[in-house]
Amino acid sequence: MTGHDPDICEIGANEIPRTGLHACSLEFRIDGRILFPAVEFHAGPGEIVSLMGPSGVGKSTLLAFLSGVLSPGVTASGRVFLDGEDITQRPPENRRIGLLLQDAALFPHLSVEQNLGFGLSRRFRGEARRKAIADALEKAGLPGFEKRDPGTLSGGERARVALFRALLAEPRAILLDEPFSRLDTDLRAQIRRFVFDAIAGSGLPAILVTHDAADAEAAGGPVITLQGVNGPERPG
Amino acid sequence: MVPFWTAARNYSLMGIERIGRGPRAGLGRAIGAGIFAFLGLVLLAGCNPGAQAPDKGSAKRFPADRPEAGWAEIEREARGQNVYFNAWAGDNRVNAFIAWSAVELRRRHGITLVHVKTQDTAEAVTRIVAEKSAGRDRDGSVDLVWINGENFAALKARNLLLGPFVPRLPAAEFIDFARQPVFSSDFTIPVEGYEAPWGLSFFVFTHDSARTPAPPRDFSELAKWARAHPGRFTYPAPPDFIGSTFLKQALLSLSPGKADMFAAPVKMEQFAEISAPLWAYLDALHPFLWRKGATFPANGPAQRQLLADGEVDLSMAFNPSDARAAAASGQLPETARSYGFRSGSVANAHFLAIPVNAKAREAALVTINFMLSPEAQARKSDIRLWGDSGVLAIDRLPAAEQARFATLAAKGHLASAEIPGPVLAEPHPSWMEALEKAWRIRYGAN
Amino acid sequence: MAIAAAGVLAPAFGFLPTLGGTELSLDPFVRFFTAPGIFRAMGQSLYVGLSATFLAVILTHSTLAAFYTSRWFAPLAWQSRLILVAPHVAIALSIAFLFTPSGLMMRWLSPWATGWTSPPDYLFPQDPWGLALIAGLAVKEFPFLLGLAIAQLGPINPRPALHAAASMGYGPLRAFTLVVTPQLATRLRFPVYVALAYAISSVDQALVLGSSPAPILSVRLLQWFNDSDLGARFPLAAGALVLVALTALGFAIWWLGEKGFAAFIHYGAASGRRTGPVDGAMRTGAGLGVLTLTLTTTGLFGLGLNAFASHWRFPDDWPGGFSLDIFGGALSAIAPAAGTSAGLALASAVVSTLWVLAALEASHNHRRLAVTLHALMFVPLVIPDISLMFGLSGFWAALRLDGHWLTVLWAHLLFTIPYCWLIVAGPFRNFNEGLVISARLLGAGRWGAFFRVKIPGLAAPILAGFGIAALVSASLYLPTLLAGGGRITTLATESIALSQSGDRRLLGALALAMMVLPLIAVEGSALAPKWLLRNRSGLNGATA
Repeated sequence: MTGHDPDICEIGANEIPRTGLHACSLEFRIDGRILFPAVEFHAGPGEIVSLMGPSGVGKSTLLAFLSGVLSPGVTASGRVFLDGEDITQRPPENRRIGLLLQDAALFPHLSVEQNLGFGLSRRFRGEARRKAIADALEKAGLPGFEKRDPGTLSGGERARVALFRALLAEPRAILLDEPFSRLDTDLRAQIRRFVFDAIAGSGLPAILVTHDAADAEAAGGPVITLQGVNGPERPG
Repeated sequence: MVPFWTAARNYSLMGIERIGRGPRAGLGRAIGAGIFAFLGLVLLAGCNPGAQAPDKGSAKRFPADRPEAGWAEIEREARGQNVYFNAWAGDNRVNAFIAWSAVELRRRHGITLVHVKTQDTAEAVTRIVAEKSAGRDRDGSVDLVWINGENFAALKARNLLLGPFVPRLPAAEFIDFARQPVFSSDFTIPVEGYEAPWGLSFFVFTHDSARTPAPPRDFSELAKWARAHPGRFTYPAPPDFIGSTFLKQALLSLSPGKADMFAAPVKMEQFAEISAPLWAYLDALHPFLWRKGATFPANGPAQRQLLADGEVDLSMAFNPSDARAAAASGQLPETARSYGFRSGSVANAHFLAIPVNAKAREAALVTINFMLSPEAQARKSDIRLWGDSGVLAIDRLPAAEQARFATLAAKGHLASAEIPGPVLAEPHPSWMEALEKAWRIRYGAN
Repeated sequence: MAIAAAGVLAPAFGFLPTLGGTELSLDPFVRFFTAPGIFRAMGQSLYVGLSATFLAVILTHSTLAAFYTSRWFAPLAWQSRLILVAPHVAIALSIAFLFTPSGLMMRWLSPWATGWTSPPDYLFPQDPWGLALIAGLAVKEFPFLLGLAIAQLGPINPRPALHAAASMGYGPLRAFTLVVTPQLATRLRFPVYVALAYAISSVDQALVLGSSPAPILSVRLLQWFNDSDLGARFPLAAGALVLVALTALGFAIWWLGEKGFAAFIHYGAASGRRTGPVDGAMRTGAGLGVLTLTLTTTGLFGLGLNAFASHWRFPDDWPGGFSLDIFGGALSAIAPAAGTSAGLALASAVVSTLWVLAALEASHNHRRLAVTLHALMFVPLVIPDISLMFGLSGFWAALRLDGHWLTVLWAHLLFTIPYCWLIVAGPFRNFNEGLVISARLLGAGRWGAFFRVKIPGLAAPILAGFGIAALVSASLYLPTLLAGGGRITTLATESIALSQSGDRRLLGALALAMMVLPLIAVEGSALAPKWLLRNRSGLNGATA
């Protein structure tokens, strides 16, 4: 056994912190094969936890589980708590966990303004709505970019738009899936700093998946390294 | 399960954006030329069979074109020819009979009979007229056509029929011209040997005696019956020949005593007056028809299916054995019966004719001769197979051939040619055309 | 193409010397527009075509949106493939059998639910509103568009976008609608226009499901074609041009609708609404999509069951007895037509595939030729086939080419080549040229590299193109009829000729027989690459 015990989350439920994103005893299997030994971590408000490990170890699987979009072929055990609430069974759209992906995933058929509007809460109407988007672009260092086609943006610009689109949706936590891996080295540090500062400023717990030690170091939070398990799990 | 189309997932349907530029213009042009060369090749290849058509000068070589040529010579020439037989294909029993004939003709005479399935014989007439007007005098695409009435009149009037050929057929000897004047006068048009009688029919109604024990037996009963049973009666949409015949039978019954007028071409100034009772009758009838007269079955067999489905209580056919034949195939229950109106039934003959520009004339003649043989006629009269009355004078046949019909009759499988009520002679074809046109204006698309 | 244009234009303006038309005039148009009920027929064609395509597009998008991530997706895809291979006439007949007053639905509901022991009297199919025809066309276009849409999801790669949308609080259906559907719609534009052109001008389904006293324009044109008064050829030619114009008008209306729809969706996306009325519409559409697939499959099953029934009377739920007589008889009756169909399908598929590959390889790196070819390919798909075929048939008849097998093949190629192109061109152009260059650097000649690297690498789309070409060939009715002069009989022409003969047991047998051939072509082209490439996961991945 790997020391994994799903009930441990049940027993310890009272001790789950009331704020931040807490993952308890997460373990994944594909065709009966365990991906990596059970992990447990906690990201407090404004804190960034970095997950590292060789490619294929299951970092993205873990993120998919946290955001609720795990592929059907994977079986998972463990619990996820957000601000003390168990959100393990919730559908992704009700978790309020923002997602920042490798290729930014801007919607190509919508303008920059419409992309941001997609994220922005319905609380903002009319003029307030227009202003909220303009403010976000201002903060992103992209003033006047409202009508731009996302296809014409540089990698760094895309990353910043995607970040603010995620933040405008008012998430309670944010997940970053190698968001800087496609950026040039010199641009990379700059965008990274920008994103990390924005997250710190928002006070959101964040999980960063990366294979770049410099990313993890810059994030400043705890670093968890996932090690693959070889071969199927054997009883005893 | 992987859908086949996922094989082709990585492309853009309008995607020409990935095309590079390169110095291969010469090759491209060569291939462009190749494309046209290919089309040209297809065209040439397509032309090739046409080239086999004989030239006009040698036409006289062919036995069918020489009156003095003997039957043996015709049969010899017919071997190896393809006969394109344009025949209405709306009834699968008829289709099965033609398929059987094709097998026998190949076996006995080396002829390939191809059934060109038409939905209306007018299609074949159109084809013949169009080809002749385009100058196809000897290699038309129609070799043999199943025909009568207005289609025969149309072709004969334009001299588009081969003939007179009937006297040349050995089998013509036993055709019962003496007792059946309709064999010599098709819808009042003199036949004059330009078409060979193939079958004889009269117009009947079919009902299920278990469901409808007392069906209407004349037009005034029909009107009352339809009113009492709304939605349970209809008739095929003219110009389908069953639908048109229903109109004709109604016209002849509702305007009695005008036989002379019906035998002559219609005069439009009389038509309105003579047909007035018919339209008054139909105007009163239509609200009580199946689907309130908003639509009509496509043809007789389609209405027979409606009867089988219980959607209507009556269907109609040009075949007194309709009910027995349909019951034998299981389409209608055993309790189905066919009957004629006591006010009289339209009776007519149907024929086989050869277009003047037919390519396989000899084989067409041999085919008609086969269709008139006692064997084929007996098979055609067998209600288990087709059930259409034959054209031969059975009492004049050799004893052995008479026995075929006697055996069928003894088992109750011989189609009856007896008409229960008065015979209503077909009016001149122009009446049918006038009726169809007037019907379309009144009840068709407008 | 030029031949077809001349063949329509000349008689449309009064020039057809063999029929005595030697002067140019507008008289054919006058005769066309004064024909009784012609404006109703034109309106009906346009309205039926637009409605059917609209329905098919809505069903496609909503079914995909609702079921893309669901485990029900695979069975739905299978049903849709079954309907895709079923010929138009079989679909039309099965819809008729399902819903006609004495049909399967009423048999199953009667008498216990309805109290009816004889069928009710309502007008469907052939209703004057064209609902049956709209349903028939939509049912046939829906799987076609669904199949192409599924193929397009690969390059769109919707998962990251869907995950991002979910993380912002959008449910799966709304996320798909706002984020993936517009992208998909852009990529499906061309096939949708093909479907629209088809729906406006189709003949075969209209003959079974359309209103018979008030037929749509294409059916009116066919009636003129068969009119024994050859003078009808003049208004026919004018009508063939009007049908082209009508199709263009349909395109324009659709284009406007497309713009409006895109603006509506973009507005909805930018509004930040996490729920909205679109969701309900999409959910309804998806429900309707499933219902459509299930009902049509049921209808095909019910129709097929007739083939083995000795009798089946209203209101019995099932046949009263079974027999193989009708099916056996039908099989032997249609065997020659089946042989012709198979031969034509095979020849069309082989020639189309070879032609498309040769043209693609030749136009590779030659932009102008490629663009010309690309544009040319799509002409037969958007011009109404009755207009195209009428133009060509005059030419064929004049050269004595009609009625020959090769002429029919020619007519088939006009349609099979573009469809084959539609499937093969994209993957061919997106093929990794690096592989070809490596092969040439290793000493392979231009053609050696082509045959040993490119063709095997493209095996899956090439076989798919082959399959679709065979499928299209097997389903062509009007081109076969006009090019064959009625003398070349295929299952498609046979089924229309017999569809009016009434005996449903025979029609059931015919429908079954007609599905076998395309099913072999399509299943074969889906399975062949898996088998050929069973040890090549790098290529096989493209088919999974």
